[in-house]
Amino acid sequence: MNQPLELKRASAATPVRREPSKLQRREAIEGFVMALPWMIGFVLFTAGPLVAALVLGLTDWDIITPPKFVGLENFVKIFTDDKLFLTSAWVTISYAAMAVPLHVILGFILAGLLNTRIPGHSVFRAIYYLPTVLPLVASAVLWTWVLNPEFGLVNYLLSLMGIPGPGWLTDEDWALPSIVLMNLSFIGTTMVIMLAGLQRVPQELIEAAQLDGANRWQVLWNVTLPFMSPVIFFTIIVNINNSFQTFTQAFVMTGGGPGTSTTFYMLYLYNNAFRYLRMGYANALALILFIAIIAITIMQFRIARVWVHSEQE
Amino acid sequence: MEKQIRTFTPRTRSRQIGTLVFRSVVLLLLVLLSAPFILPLIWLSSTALKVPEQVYVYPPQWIPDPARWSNFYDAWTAAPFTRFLLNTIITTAFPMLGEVFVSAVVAYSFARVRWPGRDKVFALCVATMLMPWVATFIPIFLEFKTLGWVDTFLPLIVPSFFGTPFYIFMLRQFMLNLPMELEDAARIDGANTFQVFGLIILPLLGPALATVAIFSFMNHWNSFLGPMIYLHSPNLKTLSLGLATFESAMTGGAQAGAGAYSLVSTRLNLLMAAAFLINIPCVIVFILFQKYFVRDALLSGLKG
Repeated sequence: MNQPLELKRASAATPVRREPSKLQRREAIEGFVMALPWMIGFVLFTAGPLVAALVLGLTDWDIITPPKFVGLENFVKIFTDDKLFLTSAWVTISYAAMAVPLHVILGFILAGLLNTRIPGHSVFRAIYYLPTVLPLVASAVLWTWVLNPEFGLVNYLLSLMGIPGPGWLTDEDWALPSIVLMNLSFIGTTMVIMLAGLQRVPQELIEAAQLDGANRWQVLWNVTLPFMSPVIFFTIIVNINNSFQTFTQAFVMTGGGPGTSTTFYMLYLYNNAFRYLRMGYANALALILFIAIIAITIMQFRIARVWVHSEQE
Repeated sequence: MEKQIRTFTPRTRSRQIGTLVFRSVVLLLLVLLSAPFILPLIWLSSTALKVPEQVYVYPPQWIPDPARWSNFYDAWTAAPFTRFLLNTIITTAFPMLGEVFVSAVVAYSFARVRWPGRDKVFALCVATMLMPWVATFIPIFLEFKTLGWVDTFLPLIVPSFFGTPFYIFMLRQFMLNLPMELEDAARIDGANTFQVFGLIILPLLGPALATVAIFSFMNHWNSFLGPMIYLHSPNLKTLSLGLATFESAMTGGAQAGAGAYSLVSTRLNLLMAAAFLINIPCVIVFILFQKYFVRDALLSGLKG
């Protein structure tokens, strides 16, 4: 690339050396212009709102009257005098504690089964992935009825095995596990990422291990898992992120109930912002969740140094 | 040679049997595990065709008899679903257009054009990919409210015309693997960067743009929170919003908590018919473009 440019510059007999040529300068300006939409978007929809969130978190604002600066009052109230904050944080953490391991482990197992490439595997891959592409609201509506305690499909299938099904969404103890269960139908996302990872594990290494007499478990433990660790790490991060921002399922299926058993953090935040119009308070809640997610992500990266193998090694 | 083969035969055979057993077990597991994914959808389709008296029959009947096909028409006309469909098309097509085209332009700048500070700006762009959206969605709402754009489609469309980091990242990866020679030749012939992009790069991007387009489609077609925050008038509702409202109308609504079950109405068949119709475009896109879903997974796997 550079050579023709040099030639051109030389023939034009530009007197100043090291100064970028006219062509280079033009390219730089054009490149900058092309990236400009994202940079403007970054200011308008990321950096600006983030600063605004910081400021608004310090105010009391109902949208109708002008915002009132209240300092750290929102945060003090959240941490000392807001039962629903604690409840919703607990609901969200419990949900993540159930959903993330299930998605990662079952996603890995499904991908492993598909990766045996037995005839028809692509049909099964399509079946497992299908619920993921459907509108979330449609799935939420569907599962509300599939989990109906009296005539729902799940309790019917359980009764065939002689198991009396629980009340699912109508039972305070079972409502959250119900949402975990429903959300497992979206395991396809994790599964295809795992599958892509499995297809990258070098086949020669597996064959070499088998020639050395390793059985399936040994291959899995000593070859596949180390190679998969960056992918597993990635799916953990993505699943934690998604779990913490769960909203639609609870909004459509339970409205947060029964009681407060499925009042997810995002639902509580949404209610504060758009139902009670407490914009300042909702912003403070949003900032806390934001910081929590960032902190967990950073922590994950720290822990990852111990168990995630880097391919460059 | 022959001798060797003979000595190995018994071992090979036992290994073959082992493989056969292993494969049967895998197949059995695959079949069993597909039940939770496919049975609810079969139940949905069957309920959508039932007459009211059959909906709550226990044990559930898988094959509706008689099949009432008019349920689809009744469900579609019980709420202004044609309007909702139109709104969904508007709030999907325009953002798709913006996301695909602008992301490609920005990605090209990051991938192939040299300008000072480029790599730092790109690093920032990648960093925002991991950023949780929860922090910004309220201020962004207030931004649009100040502009007077609430209860219009604009808040759902305009942000897409500023590029989307994940798609920018994907397209940049793709462009990095394209050969440089054509571009250089065009530049020497005096083409500017925009011409190089439009005439040389853009035609080569086909499969990558298709991937972005499909994911953008799914994302916007299925989105719920955005339309719910911004679209208040009944005639602006999207299919997802419409379905949620339709559920409340047909069943008393989950919004009342799971207690809604006590209000069990006999119109579950219509609700499922509506859900069925709303699912159809997604199923079609999925079946037609299945390979792109897997390809994207490959790319997102790279990220980790």
